[in-house]
Amino acid sequence: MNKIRKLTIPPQVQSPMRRSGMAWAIGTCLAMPQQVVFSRPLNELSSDGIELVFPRLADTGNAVPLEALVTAPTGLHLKALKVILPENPNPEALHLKIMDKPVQYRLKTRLRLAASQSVWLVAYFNDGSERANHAPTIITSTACLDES
Amino acid sequence: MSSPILTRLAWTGPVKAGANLEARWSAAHPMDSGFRVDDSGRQIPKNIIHTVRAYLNDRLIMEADLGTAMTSPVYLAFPVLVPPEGGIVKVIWKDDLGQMGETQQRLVL
Repeated sequence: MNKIRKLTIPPQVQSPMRRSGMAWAIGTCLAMPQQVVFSRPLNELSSDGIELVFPRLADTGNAVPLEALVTAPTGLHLKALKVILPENPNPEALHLKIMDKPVQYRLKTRLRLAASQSVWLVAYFNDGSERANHAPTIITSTACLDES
Repeated sequence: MSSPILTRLAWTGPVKAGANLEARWSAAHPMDSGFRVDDSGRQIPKNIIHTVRAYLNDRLIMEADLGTAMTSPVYLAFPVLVPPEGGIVKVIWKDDLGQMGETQQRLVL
């Protein structure tokens, strides 16, 4: 930990304690990026039938409400949903496997965000196809840092 | 083991056969992401609810893998299709320390 602090913060910036603490916290937050692998880039997938309600501006990243309404294309039903936060240390926030065969699904949850970013919702259908939509948000403080 | 985790399961909407209810589940779990430090600078080990399963009349309807991006208290709302005979919705969770919990609510028509 001390090593990271020494490497990332030049000594002249270290004087205000709060700032160095914040940089250190963000450093640890980004220290272990994990990759989520998809067959195709998410922005090449169709976003039809996925509605997202996500605040454009959130005070803190500690609890950002997400509401998603997913409607399957005609003749198909939903198999799974994924919520991806690309800038988070663990991008995969939620993987929901749906066992009954819904045509429409409304999901609500609350997310922690490490940085301002777009949330991605990927829907998987029973024929193996995928659809994805995203919604951007701006946060003023990261959830990786304690308020205390 | 630590103090019991309070969980809650509730509906919105009328409980009628064939209706799509919204089931709201939340658990007052600390959801330690493993990225935060305590007052003495030590890293708090990761302890999150990693699996949530929802059953309707003992049939699995939804299984969720949760990541560190879920808030504390963790909150999840999902649809439940009310069967004509009513029934019981049960939600089971497990966390990284091996702690488990169960909440159930009866669908009264």
